[in-house]
Amino acid sequence: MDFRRIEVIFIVVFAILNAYLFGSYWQYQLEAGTTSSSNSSENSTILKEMRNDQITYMPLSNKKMNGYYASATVDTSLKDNIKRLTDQSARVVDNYVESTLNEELTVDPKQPQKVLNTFVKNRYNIVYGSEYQYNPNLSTNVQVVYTQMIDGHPVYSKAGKLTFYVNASNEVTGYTQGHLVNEKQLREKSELISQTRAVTWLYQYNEIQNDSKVEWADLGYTNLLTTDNGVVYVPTWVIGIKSKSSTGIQVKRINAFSGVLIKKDHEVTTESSTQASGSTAASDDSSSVSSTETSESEATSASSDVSSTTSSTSSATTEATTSTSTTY
Amino acid sequence: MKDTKTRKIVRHVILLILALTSIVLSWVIWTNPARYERAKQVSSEKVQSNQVNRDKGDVILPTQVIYTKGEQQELINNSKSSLPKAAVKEISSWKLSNITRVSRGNKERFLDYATLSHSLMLKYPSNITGKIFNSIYDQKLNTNAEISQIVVNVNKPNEFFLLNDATYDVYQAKASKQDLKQLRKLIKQSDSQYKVKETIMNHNLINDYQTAIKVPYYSFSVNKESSSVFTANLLTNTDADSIDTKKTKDGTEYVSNDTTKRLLIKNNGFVAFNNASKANDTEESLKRNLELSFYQMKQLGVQVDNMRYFNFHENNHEIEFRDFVEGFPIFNADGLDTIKVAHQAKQTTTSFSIYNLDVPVPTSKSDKELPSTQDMLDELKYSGINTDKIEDIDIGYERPSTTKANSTVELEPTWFIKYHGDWTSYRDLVS
Repeated sequence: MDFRRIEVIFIVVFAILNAYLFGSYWQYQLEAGTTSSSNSSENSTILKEMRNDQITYMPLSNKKMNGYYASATVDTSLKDNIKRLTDQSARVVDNYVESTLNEELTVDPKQPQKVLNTFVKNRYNIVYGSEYQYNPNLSTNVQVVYTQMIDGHPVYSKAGKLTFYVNASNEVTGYTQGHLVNEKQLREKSELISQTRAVTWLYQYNEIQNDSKVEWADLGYTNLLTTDNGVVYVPTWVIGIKSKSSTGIQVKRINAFSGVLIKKDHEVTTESSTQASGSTAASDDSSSVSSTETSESEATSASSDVSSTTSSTSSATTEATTSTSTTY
Repeated sequence: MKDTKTRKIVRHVILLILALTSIVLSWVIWTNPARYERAKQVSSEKVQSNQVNRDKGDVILPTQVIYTKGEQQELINNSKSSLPKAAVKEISSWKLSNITRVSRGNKERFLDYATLSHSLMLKYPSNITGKIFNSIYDQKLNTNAEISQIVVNVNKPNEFFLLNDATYDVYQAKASKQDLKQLRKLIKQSDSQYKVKETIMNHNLINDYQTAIKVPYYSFSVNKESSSVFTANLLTNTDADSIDTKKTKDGTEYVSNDTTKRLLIKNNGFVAFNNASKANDTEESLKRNLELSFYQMKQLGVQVDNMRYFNFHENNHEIEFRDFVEGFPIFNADGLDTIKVAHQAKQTTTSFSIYNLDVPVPTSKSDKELPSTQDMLDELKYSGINTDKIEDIDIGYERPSTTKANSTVELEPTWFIKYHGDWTSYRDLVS
């Protein structure tokens, strides 16, 4: 056998060996991928199931985020502070400011914050206005919502919310305001479930109907339980779902620490394409402010001037305190 | 076909390239971390949880951080974001190599290293092994040594020490790719500092608080886990498996259909789970025991956010995990504060509680003043305790027992003393 032939045989053998080695290397790579992101591969399977159920969603993120348990108390000294407000008739009912503007404020229905941002920041218009930020998710044609922030994330609870009411001619007529004080971080920061995981959990809990769309999923803080020393807020994925069969947006909540569904009987029907179906300002959260401090008397009926329909949310106010001990 | 010179060269080159490629590929495959990951994956996959997935690095963590400024030492902490976790993460990005023993069995020299000027010390409540260190800090040190503390000079590079207070051995590892600025930043970010002096008590490096100190109270809501969670997680492999239930005076016992697994839930909330379906190798290393225990703990499905590796009892191969808050252990007289996993020859026994600390809640009480270490020891001596027999001391939190779901417990800071093998609160010991 000449040297040439031996060399050719070697080339063939090495080529086969290389092909085999490359194949197993590739396989290890694939496995490594699933090991490091076993959660996200699980998620993608569920997302596929969701697509099969005709559920569409906005782009979801797998980004790792951190959050903490926070506590805050309801501001009981608003009465003194509203004295400085001008060009409006404001009063405090159960620790919420209710105010009617002397002169309506015209806003662009597409970008109401353009006018309102300046209005809110002025201390003679809104008390502690600089603590609030515009929240497009909760805002509709009939109400524009601003929220207080914890760790840079909005407080999805009535107690930290400023709601402007807008009439049919796009004029702001008045507002209600809850104000939280003494915000404290209770424990060190800890990792949260990702946005994708929150949405897939919601689907697994059977809370997303077929043929609907996940409009938004925002990390915020919601009240988890009420104690004598204040209300505990937990990082929460607040998710807005629009069903094709109905006009409103349903808001669902997932505890971002535990992945547990925070059940509250409120099916917030925010907005619709027409202004006819209004919303209840008080219904989109249950903010069970310590029952000794406020009686939650019919959610102060503050929104009566604009809300035309009310969903059955009367029991929602007591729900939050019991929502902590769901199983994992 | 004529074998021209060019063809010959081309053949040589092709063969050479192919041979080299196969060597490179073999090397890459052998050193690929995915090979090891696969083994790990199997044990963790079984546990389904909707919480953020906790890794063993979240539980086998240093609990306290000591900063030595010149001569003065401080126990430092950051209530906003975990300081030990951040320090471990930072060290994990360094490259450590060439470990050598620099001191052996010498108490004084050990203390010199523990109190090295401008150093940061990470303290574990109980020894870990070199292998556990490697897997958590993402290193490849060639050592079987046990480690109780890690000391890093934050001003001078390449001064990295691993300490073992049980033997007074000190090891030094060569450190490269260090970013000491990050560690100094972490020290600056700390928001609580207690002045301490590191001293030795019965082969334990303890924090000697030289003056009386103020320690905050903490409150938590307590979650009562339903028994169905445990029977589902521990006793059944498939939904079709049946479980025998027996009510006894003490509580309820659940037995799997092949009688190898028993779960006893006592009326006071204490749970014992016996698994005789698999024999254990009692020669297993601490590393293996720790890993198996961690996965067993995960399988329970209870919240482990506050849990830290606390102790290893060598005689019954028992790993103890305990709740911690801000670097201090939480103790409860009824044992509702720990998860213990013992790997005996024929069975694995896990004891835990159905009442777990759940959500932190604001507390109305301000700080509590605790006496200095010396004053506390003097008082113990005065009440007739033989202080030479004290094995260990630490500040901890006392958790009252409760058998109500959704109730709130207040954790009260106090001194804890390990005496005759048990941790007892200073008040109980004095009385």
